[in-house]
Amino acid sequence: MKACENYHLLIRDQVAGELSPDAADELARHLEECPACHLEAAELEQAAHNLRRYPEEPPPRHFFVYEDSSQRTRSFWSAWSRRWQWAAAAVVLAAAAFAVWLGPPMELRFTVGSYTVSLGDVGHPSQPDPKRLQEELAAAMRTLIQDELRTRDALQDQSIQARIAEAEILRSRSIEPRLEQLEQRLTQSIREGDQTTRERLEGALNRLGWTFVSVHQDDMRLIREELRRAAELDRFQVGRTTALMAQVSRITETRSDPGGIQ
Amino acid sequence: METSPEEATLEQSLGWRRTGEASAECDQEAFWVGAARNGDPQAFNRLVLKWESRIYNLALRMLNDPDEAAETTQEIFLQAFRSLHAFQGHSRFSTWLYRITVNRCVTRLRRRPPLVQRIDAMPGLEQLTTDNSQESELLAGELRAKIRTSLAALSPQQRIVIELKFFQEETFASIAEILGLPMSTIKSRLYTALDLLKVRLRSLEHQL
Repeated sequence: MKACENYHLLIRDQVAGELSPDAADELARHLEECPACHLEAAELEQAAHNLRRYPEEPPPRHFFVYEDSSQRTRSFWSAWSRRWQWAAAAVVLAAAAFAVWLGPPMELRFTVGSYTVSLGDVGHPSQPDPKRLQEELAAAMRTLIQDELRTRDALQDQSIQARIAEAEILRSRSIEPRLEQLEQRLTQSIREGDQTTRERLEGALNRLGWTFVSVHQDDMRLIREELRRAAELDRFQVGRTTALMAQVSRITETRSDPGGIQ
Repeated sequence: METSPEEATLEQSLGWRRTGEASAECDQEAFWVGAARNGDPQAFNRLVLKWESRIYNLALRMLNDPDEAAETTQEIFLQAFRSLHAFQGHSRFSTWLYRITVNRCVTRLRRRPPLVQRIDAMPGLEQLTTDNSQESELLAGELRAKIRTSLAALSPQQRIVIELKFFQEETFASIAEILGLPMSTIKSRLYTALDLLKVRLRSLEHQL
C-alpha cells in the first residue's frame, strides 16, 4: 500500500477534477480505510465547493468597443496611408498658395483623393485674395471630413439593417413556428398529465428562448445602444433613428418573443 | 436535458443549430472573430457580450476592486480588439483572451504599492450598496466579499491558477498554455493555494 502522502496528491488531483478513473477507484478504496485522508479529502472538497459557490456579479456596464476606439485599431499601413494623404494635401495646398502668391497670375487645379481644388483664376489675372485661399482650403477640408462621416454613417446604417433583417428572418421562419408547435404540444402534455413529455418540451422551449435571447436579443440591445449614441451625436437623418428603433422594438417586444419563456 | 429524436429531426428540418452544443458555439465565435478581424466593431461587440461578465468577474476576483476591475475589463477588450490580427486561431479564443486578462491583472497588481489592502476587501462593506430589502442579494454580497478576501491573501500567481481552475474550469493543459508554464508548476501552485484556502474558507461553512 502507498504511503498517505502519495494519496494526498491524488486527493488534490480529484478535487481539481483531473483524476483518471483507475486512480479514482484506488483513492476511493484508500479513503474507506484511512480516516485521516478521508478528512483531508472532505476539507479540500469543501474548499473547492465554497469557491465554486461564488455568485457571479453582473458587470456594472457593457465594455463595447466603439468606432472612436476602432479608429485606433486600423492597421499600420492603412493609418499611414491616411496620414500621408492629409500631409500631402496640406503640402500641396501650401506650395500652391505660395506659387500663386509669388508667381504670375494663373489658375492651379489639383486633386486630393477624389476632390479637385482650384486656386487662382485665369479670368481675373490679379493676385489671389489670401482670404479666398483660406476659404477654399477650409472648404476642401470640410468636404473631405463630411465625406468621411457620410461613409461611416452609411456603413453603420447598413450594418444595423443587416442585423435587424437577420433577427427578423430567424424569428419569423424558425422561432415562431417552432415555438408555436412546442407550445401546442406542451399544452397537450399538461392536459394529459404527461410529466416526462412536459419536462422535455419545457426544456426545448427554454433552449430556444435562451438561444434567441443570447444571440439576437443581445444584438438588438447593442443596436439600441448604437442608435442612442448616434442620436446623441446627431448622426443619422431625422426620423432614421426612430424608424430603426421601432424595428428593433417590434422584434423584441412581440408576444412570441421567446425571451419571455423561462 | 435529452431531446427526443422527433424533436431533433424537427430542429434539423428548421435549420436550427442548437447553441448549447460546443461546436456550434465555436463556429459562431469563429465567425464573429473573423468579422471583427476585418475591422467590424459590431462583430467584436458580440464577443464582448459573450465574455464581458466572465472577464469582469475574473478581474474583480484578481484585483478585489470593482472600479479597477471595470477599468481593466475595458482595457482588456480594447487590447483584444487592437491585437485581434495577431490571433491566428491556433488556440481557442478564450485561451487567448484569458492570456490578455491575466497579463493585464498582473501588471495592475505589480503597480500597487506592497501591503496595500483594498478598502472594499473588508467583508461586508459591499452590502452597503445593496438594497437592504433583498436578503438573498445581501447574502450573495457577503459570500462574494468573503471569497474575494480569502483570495486576496494568495500571491497573484496562486490566485491566477485558482481562478482558471475553479472559476473558469480550465484543464491543467489549458492553464499551462494560457500561462506558458509547465503543468508541474501549475499543479504545485494550485495545490499550495488550495491548502491555504482550505483554512481560510472554513469559516464560511459556519457563517453562511
